[in-house]
Amino acid sequence: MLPLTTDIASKCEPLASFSSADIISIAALTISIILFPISFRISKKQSDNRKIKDALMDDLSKIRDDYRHMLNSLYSNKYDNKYILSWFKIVNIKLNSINKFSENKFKLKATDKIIAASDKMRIVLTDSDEFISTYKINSAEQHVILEQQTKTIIESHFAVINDEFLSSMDKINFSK
Amino acid sequence: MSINIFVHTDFSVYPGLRHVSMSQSSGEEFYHKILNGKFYEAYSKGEMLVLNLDNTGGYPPSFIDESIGNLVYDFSLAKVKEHLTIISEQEPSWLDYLNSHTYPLWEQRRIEKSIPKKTISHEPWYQLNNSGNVTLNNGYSE
Repeated sequence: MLPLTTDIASKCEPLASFSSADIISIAALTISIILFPISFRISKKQSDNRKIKDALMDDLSKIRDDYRHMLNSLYSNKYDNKYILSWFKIVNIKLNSINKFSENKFKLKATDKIIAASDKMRIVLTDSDEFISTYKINSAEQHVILEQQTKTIIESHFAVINDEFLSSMDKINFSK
Repeated sequence: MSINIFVHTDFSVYPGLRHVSMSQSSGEEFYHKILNGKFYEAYSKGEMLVLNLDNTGGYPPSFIDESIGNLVYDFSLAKVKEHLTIISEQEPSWLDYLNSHTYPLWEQRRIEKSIPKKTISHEPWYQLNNSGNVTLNNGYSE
């Protein structure tokens, strides 16, 4: 056993000339060198995720603007029944795309509640007498002209949709 | 094996409202012209009917409720779930709508014998009777 102990001692001899502060510095440097690639990767991943989250929130913001624009145009009697149905379909496709992506990336169904609220608004709109009347074969007015009573109901649904957009953006922003 | 219906090619790119009296290409028309017969074919052969909702110009919810609701009324929810698959890749929320609204509502109507409204007379259509046999009828027995 003695020769082995002596051997270790002789190998550690150069360290004897270092102060404990030097040894701590060397250890810190070594750890930094080992950890740098790891921290770089984590930092890069966080930065990439931040960019993705910003892009998703930007997309949601644009779709929210689409709703506002749709409502303004609907109130200006600019849309016929086919346009309204295709509008709801297209916006649902966009929201579903975000939902799938956010679920895969962040384990978060970001737009489920927006879609549910939007579907409720579609039911109210398409079941309204004003919408139904545009399907009559001899209907002179093909564009949907909403009565105030229907507008009031639509607005309450629009408020819910708007809230759900804010909630979704918040969830994406703080998702891990 | 399965039997397929593509709404956009087999019926209309622009599905209409609930009843024939309301619009062209209605849910009532789709049910009586296509869905009822195709479902019976799948049911009698022990196969699946695959109903593809994609690639139309969009649906009024009432079209989906009326057409698939009538199927539940005439065949029961259990048989519909056994022999019908619905594909809606573009708008998956139609499946949620069916599961949360149409299926329970129309199954309840079936149990309570709350007869569906018909706005024109139709050719006889297939219905599952209380004995578990499918018969062709042009109305509902009380």
